[in-house]
Amino acid sequence: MYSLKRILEIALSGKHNCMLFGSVDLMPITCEEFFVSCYSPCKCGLLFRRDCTCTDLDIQYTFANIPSRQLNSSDMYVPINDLRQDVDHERINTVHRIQEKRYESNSFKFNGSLSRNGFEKYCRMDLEAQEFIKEAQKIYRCSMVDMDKVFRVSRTIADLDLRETISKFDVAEALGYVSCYIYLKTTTI
Amino acid sequence: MYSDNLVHIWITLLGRPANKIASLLVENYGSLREAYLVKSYTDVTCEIRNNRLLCQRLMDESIKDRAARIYERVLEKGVKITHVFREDYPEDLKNIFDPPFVLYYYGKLPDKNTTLLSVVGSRKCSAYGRKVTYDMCFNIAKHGVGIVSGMAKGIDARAHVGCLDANGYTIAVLGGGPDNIYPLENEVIYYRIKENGLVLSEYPPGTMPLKHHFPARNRIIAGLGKGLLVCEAGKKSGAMITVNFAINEGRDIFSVPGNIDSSYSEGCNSLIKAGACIATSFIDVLEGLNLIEGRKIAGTVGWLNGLDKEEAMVADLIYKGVKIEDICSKTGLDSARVVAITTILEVKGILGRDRHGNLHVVI
Repeated sequence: MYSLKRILEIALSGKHNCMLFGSVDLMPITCEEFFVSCYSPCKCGLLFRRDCTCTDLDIQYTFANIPSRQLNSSDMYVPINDLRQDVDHERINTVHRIQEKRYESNSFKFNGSLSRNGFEKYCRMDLEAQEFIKEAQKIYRCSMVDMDKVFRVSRTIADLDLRETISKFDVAEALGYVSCYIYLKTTTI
Repeated sequence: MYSDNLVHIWITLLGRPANKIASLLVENYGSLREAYLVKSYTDVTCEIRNNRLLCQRLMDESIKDRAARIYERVLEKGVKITHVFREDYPEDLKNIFDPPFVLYYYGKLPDKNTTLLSVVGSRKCSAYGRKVTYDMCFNIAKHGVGIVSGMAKGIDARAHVGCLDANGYTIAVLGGGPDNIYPLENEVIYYRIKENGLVLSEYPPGTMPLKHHFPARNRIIAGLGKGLLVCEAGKKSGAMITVNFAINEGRDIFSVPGNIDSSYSEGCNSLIKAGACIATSFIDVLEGLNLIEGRKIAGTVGWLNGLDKEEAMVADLIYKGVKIEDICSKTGLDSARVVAITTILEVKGILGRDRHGNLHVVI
């Protein structure tokens, strides 16, 4: 369901920190502005994807051993098993230009470093999306920090489609990238 | 000071079973009020004179004082009262052997047409038991069935939390007074139940939760429900006492199977051996209670109603057991769209995640 191409597209264009779960042969991408790290989520490496045979304690143990700075500062947490593919660099550059124009007056340049006081100004949502996000917050019981991640990622997803207002599907997709983390946090820790 | 409730509290102090004493008094005096006003030996009728203990207690002023004190306390704490002869008294409970004569409660009593299911299990339980109880009660409550349990540690607490999370109706039957929170670690659950459900006890407010109250309370748990679900119980667990009560009252027993070498599930497995229904999912319980008709359950006719075309397609594929990675290629949608749709389905309550984070259909 999750494709690596799409994830890298979002991560590169919005400069989002991002964490991939799975036994992929992928070197972590790091530069000054953001990082993409890759971890095995459990001993057998099949968590979130197929019949995993690990016990709760195994999962808890491996999850606890991931450096907390990388874990908490990531915006997307995605189980992945396909190989690295080339991304559309032209499309990413367009998104970069949109963001530069938008954040002219600010100290930061990309969606990845957008903070809570910027959401009201920059993340405008239509009515359907607002209702959806309220309902989702109740169902997932996510914290404010988790919601910040959703806001940031959904901003980039809308930018990739060259839209100014965020729609319900953008929010839903962004939630899909955070849901694994919320699940792990609420059930194993 | 005279009131209807006061007389009924007084009856419970005369002895057990209270409903038999009440009917005896009504036969001899015409009404309970007349019996309450008996002061001297000359007023006592022949039939009651033969029962010496009852005769003594009938004239004892100190018992009347005790009843008055309890009644004062009830008014002070804001506890509500119902008794066997009232209409709002739960119908199923009325028909058991020795029903509690007076019920002290906070919250609202169940409607006539709500079906109730009792859930029991041991206080000492495994992670498996806790998880299964929560999931079962969550889904059962979602289909409009109320959950009755004892607000003890372990399985009982998880049953209440599962029901409350699904916005269902739940009843906690306590072993002390209704104002006495025991164990204290369930304080949050207690207040949540008080708001949305019913906290019930046969003991007057201020009573301590004593050891011998709990087996007696188990008969109320067994009596309130149409069926009894045993989630995880050891061989000599208190849950097995409730099971015995339920079998004597003719209730259906559902038992969740466990590992054969686990000491926590010994009771459950022995119940299955003796002929209890095996509950491997909440659908088994609903089927056993004859509630399956007209409900939205995966695989039945019309379970995809109210969904978009794309949503229905994805939900159907997941129900059929297609792997998550293959959904994109089977539906022809791109990855971004599928992620969005699964999240929307999760928020709508159709998909859920299992122990290892895999998506599956939960309705």
